[in-house]
Amino acid sequence: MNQNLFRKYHNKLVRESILKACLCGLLIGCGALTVTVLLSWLFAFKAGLFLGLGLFAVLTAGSACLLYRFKFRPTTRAIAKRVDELGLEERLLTMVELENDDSYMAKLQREDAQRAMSRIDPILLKVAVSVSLIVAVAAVGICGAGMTAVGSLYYADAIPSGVELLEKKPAVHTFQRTYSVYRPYVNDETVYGRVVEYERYVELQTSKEEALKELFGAMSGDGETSAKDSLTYSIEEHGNAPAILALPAAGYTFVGWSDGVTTPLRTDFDVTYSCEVKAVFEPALNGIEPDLVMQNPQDDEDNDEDVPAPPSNTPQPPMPEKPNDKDHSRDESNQQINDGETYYGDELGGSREDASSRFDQDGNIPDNMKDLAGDYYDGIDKGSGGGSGSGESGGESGGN
Amino acid sequence: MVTENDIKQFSQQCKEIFEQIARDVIGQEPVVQGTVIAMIAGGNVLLEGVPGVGKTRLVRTLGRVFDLPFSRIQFTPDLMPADVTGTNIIVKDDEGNSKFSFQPGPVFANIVLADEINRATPKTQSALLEAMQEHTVTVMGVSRKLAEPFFVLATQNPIEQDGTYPLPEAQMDRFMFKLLVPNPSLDELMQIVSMTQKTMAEVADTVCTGEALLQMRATANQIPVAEEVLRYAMILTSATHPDSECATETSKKYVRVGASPRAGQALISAAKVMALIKGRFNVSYSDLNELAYPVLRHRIKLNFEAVAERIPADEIIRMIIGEVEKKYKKQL
Repeated sequence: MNQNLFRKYHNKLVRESILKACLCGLLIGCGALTVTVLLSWLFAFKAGLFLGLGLFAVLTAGSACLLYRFKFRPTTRAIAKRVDELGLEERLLTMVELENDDSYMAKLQREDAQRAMSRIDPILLKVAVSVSLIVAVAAVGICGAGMTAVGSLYYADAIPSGVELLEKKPAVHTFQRTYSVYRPYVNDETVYGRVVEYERYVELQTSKEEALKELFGAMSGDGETSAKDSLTYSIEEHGNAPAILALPAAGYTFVGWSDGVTTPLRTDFDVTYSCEVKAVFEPALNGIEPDLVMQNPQDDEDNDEDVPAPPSNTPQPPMPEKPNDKDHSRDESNQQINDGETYYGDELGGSREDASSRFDQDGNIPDNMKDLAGDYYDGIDKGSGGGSGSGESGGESGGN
Repeated sequence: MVTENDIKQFSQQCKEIFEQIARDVIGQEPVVQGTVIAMIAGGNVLLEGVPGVGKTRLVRTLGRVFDLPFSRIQFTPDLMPADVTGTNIIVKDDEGNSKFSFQPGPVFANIVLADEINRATPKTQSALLEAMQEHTVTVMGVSRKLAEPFFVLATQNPIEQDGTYPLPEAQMDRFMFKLLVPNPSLDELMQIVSMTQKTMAEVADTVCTGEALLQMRATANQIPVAEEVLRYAMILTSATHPDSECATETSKKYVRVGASPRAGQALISAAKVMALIKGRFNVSYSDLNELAYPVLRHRIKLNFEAVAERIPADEIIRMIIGEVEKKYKKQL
């Protein structure tokens, strides 16, 4: 009897129950799909994609049917409870319980319930699905779709498997630090020193010759080229570089590093960027100002042959003279002090005459510079036992 | 066996009872309705309110409306139990022999007004215990049954607590309802003053006899209660206990002792009457929720935290109802 009364509500609640069962089935199916495809991707099991899709279909359909049958199918009592929520104050629920009661009170109650139910418009009974269920299905559905896409890409070898990804070590950011020797000329293979690892260098000091040979390779300190004029290290981020020593060749001194460090021994701590640092050397002048060193024009010509001209835009640190084993006296002259006592032989050549003629021809040279040059040549001539006319004229100039 | 005539009589008499009470008592509809429900359901009522709000007048009016013997006991600290129950006195018979004769006290009435009940000593208060629950009075080993219907309608003043003896839990539990009598609204106050300027006389007529009241009670008892609704009432009662399986967070936090099983009985009995008064033949959740306040408010013992935070019992009941509806209603 009650089933007939509830017929108009029954169909709506059946639709609601089917919807709920389908949503729950989707929840289970998508969950199974997600887990299966995830595991198969993680463990490099390509057929897992199809297994997951199969499970999805079977579990969704099966669980939806079972849930409808055993959980969501609307019973008379459930319908009565739902309709009571429309303001019937448990009339229908009580009526269902008193269905088999023939007492006068039960009859009154049924009549009252039916009267109250007749006042309720069935359209007021809305299909109600909990928001949490919808959200859960949406979330699991997105996961399932996402994992299906991942599984498909893996199946097509477009992406690696989870195992491969997990086995890769996390990338460590490293920086390159290069310590090299400054080359004044681009094409010049002449170097004035070397950079070495300080620790290795110290360790090899037991036999200096062997150590130098080990460290410098073909280089013997005479300025010959070598393959070991730079050291490059890969250093992890915030790591430390080894101690580096800028070691000048014989006849050269260390000026500084290109980044401003002035000590030849350096250690870079907390490295956070890549760069190249150059060690700068210069010829050892033994106290004589480089600008005041006057060279024999012939020597200059010789140098020009050996050393190509530097490009105009190349930074030019003081260039040392090229060592020459053939003319040992020139090396010695570089070590001499202009004391006025030393005889220079023919080294002066016609330089005084040249200078005098230049002074005469070039009116831009100030007199005090002429006097200074005159005094210089006088000093040299004094050491060689006599002056010349030019020296006198220089002395005159100086006297002026 | 309830008949159609019983139902009609119930509705008719309820209507007349409320009409007659309204002639003497202005406003206070919830209190009047609660008192009538308790009387029909066979329970005792504790009325609590400040002086002058019409507690005693309401009880007197009820006595008139129901055409039942009515007695009033003004409770004072020197009131003795025998003053309530009655006592044996020595009388001489026709032959000149002395013998004990029982002199009934004021409790031997159908409606007993225990005015300012908390001013008497616990010993005297407890003299009412047996009468309220068993509807019998035992004096010197002899039990005497009280006439049915029997009700105790007690009043107490919540303000003047000096020199009072708060009712023990055992006695409180025997009141079906504790009704709070509020101050009348402005309109009600104007009506009261206008009415009493003309006459202080009570004008309510008798519309219901004791037998009719008992018949109404029998009719209400036949109202069916769905199993789920009954379970809900029991869960509601049990939820007031902090240690029960249905305990709510509120009861765990604020309640020291919950309501007794009498609360469950009272809730269902009163809900049946209320449903029938509303013209419904079944008990609903809303009936239970509405009646939970007068049934439970004097039966739950608040803990220190509730007292310190000044949370009234009604607020705690409201929170418990909210939690029970949320937690259990869909599971039923």
